[in-house]
Amino acid sequence: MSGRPPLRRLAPGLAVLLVLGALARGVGRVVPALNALIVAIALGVVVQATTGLPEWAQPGANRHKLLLETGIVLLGAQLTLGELVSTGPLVVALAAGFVLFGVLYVETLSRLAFDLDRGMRALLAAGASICGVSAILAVAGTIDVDEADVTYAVATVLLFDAVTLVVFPILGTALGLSGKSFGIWAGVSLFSTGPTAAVGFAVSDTAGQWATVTKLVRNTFIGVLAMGYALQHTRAVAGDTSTRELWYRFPKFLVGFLVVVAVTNVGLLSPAARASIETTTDWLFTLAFVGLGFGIDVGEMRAAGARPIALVAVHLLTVSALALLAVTLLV
Amino acid sequence: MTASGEESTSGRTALAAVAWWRRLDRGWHAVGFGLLIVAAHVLVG
Repeated sequence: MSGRPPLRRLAPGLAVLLVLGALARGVGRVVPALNALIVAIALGVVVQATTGLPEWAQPGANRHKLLLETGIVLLGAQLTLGELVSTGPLVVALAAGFVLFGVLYVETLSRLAFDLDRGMRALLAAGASICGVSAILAVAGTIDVDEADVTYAVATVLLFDAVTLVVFPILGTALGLSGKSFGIWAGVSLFSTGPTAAVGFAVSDTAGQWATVTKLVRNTFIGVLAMGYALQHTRAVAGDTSTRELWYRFPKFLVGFLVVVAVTNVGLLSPAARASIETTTDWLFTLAFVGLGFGIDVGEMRAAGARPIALVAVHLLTVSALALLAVTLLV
Repeated sequence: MTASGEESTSGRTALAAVAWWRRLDRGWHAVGFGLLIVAAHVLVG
């Protein structure tokens, strides 16, 4: 089996990922309430729990981490530093301040009150403080974490996306905030970019535009956070802290991520090209999530209990209250 | 160099390139594939 050419060995498993990924995206399109990534994981878990993944599909399906890391490289095309300049210093300062606060808050709370391990702490800090699923995946790629933890963190963030999609527009109307204030508040507080924009536009066009641009400014910190966690993790696992050893253990795909950020920001990619790369990224993540599903041990997720969900709830309540105060005083 | 000699040289080069690629860290593979996709988009526009 191992003597066969790599492509012939990998193709069957990659085809399985592609078929199940396409099915997940189809279900996500037909039933918008179901996120395609969650459907992808569920399909992987169900196949593994029922028929099991056939041996002929394993070499290809085991490449799901490569698909995930390639998707992270392509995430760089979504980070336009021009957003930082165009929004002015106040939004940048608010976004940077709340990202920093959010990461430290989640890290501290998880140690002191929620007893979560290092990997889960990092995933939730990234997901809640920056950009939902993308940030979780970017950080997950840079540190050694259980695949069950990644799934749980993603599911937790998506759960809160659904809740805030309903609650925030109601609050925005009840509080009587201006469109700009509400947009910045939502952009600083909420998790995933799509739902944040939807929440803003549910209140007004102005709120939608400010929510989107504020959220995009927050997203620009993905690279910095992933790089920070990568360095911290590399130092923690490498007994030898020489530059050579640190570089050996450093997640190399972050180099590609930075190159793509540079290519995007010197204007080499048209808006259509960026949209197409974003679609490619979504596909890669969906396929990777089917592969993650194959490796999920539901028992491990059950063992984590409701603590991650409680932690993210505390983070959301704290950050949204402080952000509301900041927006009321400063905007 | 004969035609068959040229073929074997380019064949050896290709095999060496494949062997080099397979020895690389998975992270570099992701960089390679990612940049290939971006380059295709830059060229197509």
